[in-house]
Amino acid sequence: MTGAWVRATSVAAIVTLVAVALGRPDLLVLAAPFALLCALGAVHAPRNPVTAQVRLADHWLHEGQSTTLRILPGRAGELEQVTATLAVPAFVVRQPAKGSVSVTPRDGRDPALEFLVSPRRWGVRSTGTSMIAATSHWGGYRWGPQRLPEATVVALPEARAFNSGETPHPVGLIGQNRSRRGGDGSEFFAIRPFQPGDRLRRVNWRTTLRTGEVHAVGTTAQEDSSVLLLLDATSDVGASGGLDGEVNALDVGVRAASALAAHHIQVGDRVALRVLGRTNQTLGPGSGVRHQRRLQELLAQVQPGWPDLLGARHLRFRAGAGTVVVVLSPMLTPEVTTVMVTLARRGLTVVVVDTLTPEIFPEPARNPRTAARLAWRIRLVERQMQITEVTRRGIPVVPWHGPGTLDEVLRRLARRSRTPRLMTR
Amino acid sequence: MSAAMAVQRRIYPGLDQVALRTMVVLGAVAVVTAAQAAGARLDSWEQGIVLGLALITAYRPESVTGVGLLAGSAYVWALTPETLSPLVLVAAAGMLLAHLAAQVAAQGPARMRVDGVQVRRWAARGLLLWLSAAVVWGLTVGVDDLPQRRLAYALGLTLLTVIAVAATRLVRSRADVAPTQ
Repeated sequence: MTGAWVRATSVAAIVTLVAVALGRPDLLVLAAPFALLCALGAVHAPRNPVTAQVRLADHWLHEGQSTTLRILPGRAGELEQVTATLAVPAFVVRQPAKGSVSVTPRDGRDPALEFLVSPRRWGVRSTGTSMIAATSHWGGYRWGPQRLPEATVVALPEARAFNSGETPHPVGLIGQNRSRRGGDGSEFFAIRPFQPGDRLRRVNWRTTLRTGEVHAVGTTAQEDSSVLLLLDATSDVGASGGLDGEVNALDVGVRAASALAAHHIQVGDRVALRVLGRTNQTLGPGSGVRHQRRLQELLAQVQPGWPDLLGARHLRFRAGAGTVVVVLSPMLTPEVTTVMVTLARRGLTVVVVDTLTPEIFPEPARNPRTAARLAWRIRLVERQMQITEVTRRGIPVVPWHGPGTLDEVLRRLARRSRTPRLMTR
Repeated sequence: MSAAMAVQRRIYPGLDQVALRTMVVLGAVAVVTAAQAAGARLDSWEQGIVLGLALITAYRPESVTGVGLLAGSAYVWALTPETLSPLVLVAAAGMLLAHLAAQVAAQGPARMRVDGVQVRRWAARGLLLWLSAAVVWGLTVGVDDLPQRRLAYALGLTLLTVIAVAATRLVRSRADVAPTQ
């Protein structure tokens, strides 16, 4: 029963009794509407319990996108008014921002209460706690407030626009990376004597007439590369405010990995993923839109933490020769640095994208009055030592700044890959 | 799916909720005014109690304070010397206004937007309920003019019997269709 029905019943009873006791018919006039309201509320008491369901229009979204959360109570015929509230957790916003919706069922149709929810940060997010209450006709009875099961949405990391130079070791059959050898591409390589298999349209008649020997235009082959994205999720430095606020080191790493994967898959490269964190996601090399989606799903499930086994001896990366390893790391974990150096010593091209920028440093690191600042200074000195160490071993370290981050470094690596060098196997 | 949405950090009740809850206080004020116009002599503390209860009910419309507000309003009217004043209909309207406004306000959290359909529906119902008060007042005036009071008792007993029979039928019919759990 609703508070209003109890109020009406109590007042009708009390005032009627007083009216009879004191012989005041005017008090009966005051009690009559409440008695009638009480009776009508009792007549329309619901006969069956109400059930409600929560439906989410999309379970997979990119961070920043929104979807509709529908709450569907049944038995509309017995309900006069339905109210739902939604309390959202961190990194999820709702519309209406007030978090409550009320509807009046019409024409006997089951009502639907709708909220728009939008995850503001990548990850597996609950859409929040929703509660529902419904009242019967004439406000006599209320069902609820009833807590409904929470829905979950997977927020894929945002893949911002990214482009980059060619990778240094193209070895595959398809793709858009310029190979060192000649082939059936579009980039001019040389004018050379005609060989069996050359197409007739490639014959350079001017040179042929001048030399008296058939010459053809040679082009470089276009091949795909293998790229391994190695995400360091052993530490999560800084506070994240989602898309609308600050970013932390893991945000930068995950979004950069997503952007890199999208770019390389678009140009036909094979992309693999390895996460060094609590969840240890691993995805073998592959290409295509479906592979990109799978990679983003794994990135959305990254959780910061220390992996069970973190060391070059325990980790097997299955990276073939010519693979370009892009490490996304805040460079705060010596074990990850050891992994990078080990991969470089195997002859793989390793590039480090530094995900820790001065803006990401937590507040205690900037406050000169706290002891935490001293601790952070020590930690940053150690970090600088690691950066120096990997740079000395020929591993470039570049801060992430979106498109073009890897252009210069990949160009230098491509130039270096053409020169002979000594390596250990 | 759509683009990003705005984030509202701090949320307060809207003007619609404020207006709705003001109706609770206005209803109480109408009762007090009608009673004074009908000749009731109210002390300031009595008026203060009724208005205080109205304010609490407006703030917490689901609370039990509402019973106190309506009972207090009836008490205020009971202080009038004239029992069949037409101003009792104004008092009844005020009590209904306070009650129904609190009922609509209690349908959800204070920050919720008031459902316009519900407001219109309850306004129409309020008018219907007030008409019942007018009918009772008309009957009272009519019975008061009857030459024989026995007829009034007979009418009252008949009415009570009809109500008792209707209530019995209602309870029985609901018991017959009650679901098995």
